[in-house]
Amino acid sequence: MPSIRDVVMNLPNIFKAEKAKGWNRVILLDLGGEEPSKWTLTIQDGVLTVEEGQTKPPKLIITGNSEHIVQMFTGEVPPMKLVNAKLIKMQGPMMDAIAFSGLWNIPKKEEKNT
Amino acid sequence: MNTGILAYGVALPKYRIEAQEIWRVWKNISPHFFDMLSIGERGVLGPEEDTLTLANEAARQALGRSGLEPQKIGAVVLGSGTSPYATKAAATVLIDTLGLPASALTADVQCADKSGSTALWMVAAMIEAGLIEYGLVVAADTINRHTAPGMIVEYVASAAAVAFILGKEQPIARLEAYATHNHDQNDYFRTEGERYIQAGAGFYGWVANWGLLDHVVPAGQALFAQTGLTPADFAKFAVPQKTGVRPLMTMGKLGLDVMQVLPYVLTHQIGDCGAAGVPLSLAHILDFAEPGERIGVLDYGAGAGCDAWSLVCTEAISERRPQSGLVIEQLEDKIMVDYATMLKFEQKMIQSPHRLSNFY
Repeated sequence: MPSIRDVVMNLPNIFKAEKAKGWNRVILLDLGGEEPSKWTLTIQDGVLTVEEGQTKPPKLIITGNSEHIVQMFTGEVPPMKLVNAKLIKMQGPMMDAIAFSGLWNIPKKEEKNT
Repeated sequence: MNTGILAYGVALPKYRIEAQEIWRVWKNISPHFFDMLSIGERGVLGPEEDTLTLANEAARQALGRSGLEPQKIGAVVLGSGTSPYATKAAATVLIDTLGLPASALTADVQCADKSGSTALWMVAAMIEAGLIEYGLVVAADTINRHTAPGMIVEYVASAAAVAFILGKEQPIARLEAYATHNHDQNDYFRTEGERYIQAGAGFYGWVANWGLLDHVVPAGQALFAQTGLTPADFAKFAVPQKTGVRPLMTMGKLGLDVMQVLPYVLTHQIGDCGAAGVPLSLAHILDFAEPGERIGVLDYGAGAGCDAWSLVCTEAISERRPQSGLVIEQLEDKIMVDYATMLKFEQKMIQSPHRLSNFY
């Protein structure tokens, strides 16, 4: 399984920039578990930047264990399954939380096996 | 259709209040609802601000962006459910403030939150019929001024104005198709002589949105049936957004995709802007739209009806895209106030809401 650093630093590569035009947000990943860490994701003018630590006041806070975030972004487990199981929690406007889930080209499990 | 939007303008109140600040005073809802309903901040009127001043500001920006001589405007229609006047048209004031010709057809259109959308299509029909060359339509509302202190809707009651210059010559977005569905239902209303809007079916829960679904679903389905288009043919949608629940319900019932809708919902930043709400979302979409993109508009007027329409961006949008005064810039340009200041600015601590000034 890749490290949380590898996964978070790869987010700009799977980011759907065209979907985020005009959707400027600061999102904090506040993670525990195997690799406790904080990451600030800034979406501004359709560009995603990733910084380690909490560098700005966030509008949406995502908490959970690092391994679950890795599972989410690598397509191992669907995001909604993790949210419904309360393994990942999102604190902030519900619409932002839902929109956040639509911003990524997450590989599907079937695609990974082919 | 050959008619389209040549330019648009937006005006938002600079003053804002946080929902948490309102909750500090009233504590009349569980704060857990704020995230669920995507409630964050809402607009507060300045001491001298009303539907007309916001409409004037938006129209001035739209005219400036269009580069059109004001004398060429053939119709001025203000869509609003909160006109400062009970009898005469408020739009006539825009004739004077903007230097528009007295020969322009001038009227107000009132149809709850879809007043602006309905006004737009009436003016578009005049242009399409060849009666006029250009028209100015303004959707403006001050829901905050007409919401009683302590009412649950106070958390989102806001204000804004969005103006559109319509014409056939090189529009940035061409109007494509239109459908509507109207019947009377007991949703939000305000009867003669009353200042404050009443909620016919409450604020949250399924029942609070029955009017929405009974109007938006048939209107949206009629648009798809009439055009042969499916939701997948659209790049983006501007949808009703009194709270965050309405976009989700609209999206779910009409089969729209999350990313066609949610990035353009501004409820958390500005609240419910009434007749200007969906047009504000449309303006936000147009700020970043690309040529060829088809945009869907679903504009629900509480208890009155829903207009569903589509427009397609042209090549001209690349050249004439606004370079300043974007919706997100105006959203971020704000001054936060406390509850008492809001009451004072929105003239809720005095008897008459129609005073000419705060100073005498």
